[in-house]
Amino acid sequence: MMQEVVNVKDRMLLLAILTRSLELFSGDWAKTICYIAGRKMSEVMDVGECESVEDCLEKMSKVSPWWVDVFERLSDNEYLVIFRSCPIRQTHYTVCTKQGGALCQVTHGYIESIISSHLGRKVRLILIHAGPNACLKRLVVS
Amino acid sequence: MDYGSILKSLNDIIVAMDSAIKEFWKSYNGMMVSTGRVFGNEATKRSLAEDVDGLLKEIESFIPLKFEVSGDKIKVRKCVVRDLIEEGVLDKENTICPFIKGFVSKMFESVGVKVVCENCEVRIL
Repeated sequence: MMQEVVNVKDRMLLLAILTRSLELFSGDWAKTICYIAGRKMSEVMDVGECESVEDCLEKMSKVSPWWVDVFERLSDNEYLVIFRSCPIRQTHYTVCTKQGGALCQVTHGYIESIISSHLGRKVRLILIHAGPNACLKRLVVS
Repeated sequence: MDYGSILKSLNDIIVAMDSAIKEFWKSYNGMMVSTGRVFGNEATKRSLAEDVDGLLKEIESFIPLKFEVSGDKIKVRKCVVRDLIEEGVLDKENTICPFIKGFVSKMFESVGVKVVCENCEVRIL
C-alpha cells in the first residue's frame, strides 16, 4: 500500500515536471502535445455504442478514471459538463501546480476524441471554472 | 478511486505523452535533452548547492531519483523512468530518459562540473 502511494506521487511529479518543461521549452506547443496524448489514450478505450452526449459520458465514466456528468443542457448543441473525478486534477493538487494549463489538455483531447468518434461530430470543450473538487466546462457539439 | 486504478491511469497518461512527443518530434532525442536542460536552467535559479553532494540532494528533491556515489561515478539507485521500464509500461527507447539526462547534466554544470550520463550512471569528467 505504502509503495503504491509513493509510486502514484512519483508518477504525478514526473507528469507535472515533464509538462512544465515542455511549456518552458516550446510554449504553446506543449498544449498540442498534451492534446495529442489525450487523443491517443482515447484510441485504446472501448466505450461501446453511444447515442447521445449524456450516454457517451456515462459509459466513459464507468470504464475510465474520469467521472463526467452533464450539469445542464444549454441547447441542442451546447452542454455544461461537470468533471467530478479527474486524474489530472489530482495530479495538480498533489504536486501543487496550476490548473488549466497544458496538462489539462490531456483531458480535453481524451473527452473530445471519445465523443466525436462515437457521434461523428466535432466536439469542443471550453473551461469555465477549475475547482478543487470539480471543474465546470462547456461542451460544444458542431 | 483506489490507488491501483489511479496508478494505471497515470501510467496510461505517461505512455500517451511519450507516444505524442515521438509523433510530434521525429528527432525527439535531442529535443528532449534540450527540454531537460531548459528545466534544469530554471531549477538552478533556485539552487543553493555549491558542491556535488548538495547538488545530488537538490536533484533528488526535484525529480524522483536517488543517487549513490562511488568514487568518480554516481550511480542512479532509484529512478521513476527505470521503474516504468521494468514494469513494462515504457519502452527502453522512450522520450523521458533523454529529458532526465539533459536535466541532470545542466544541474551539474551549475556547480562547474561537466558530466556524461550513460546507462543510469553519471560520470564526472
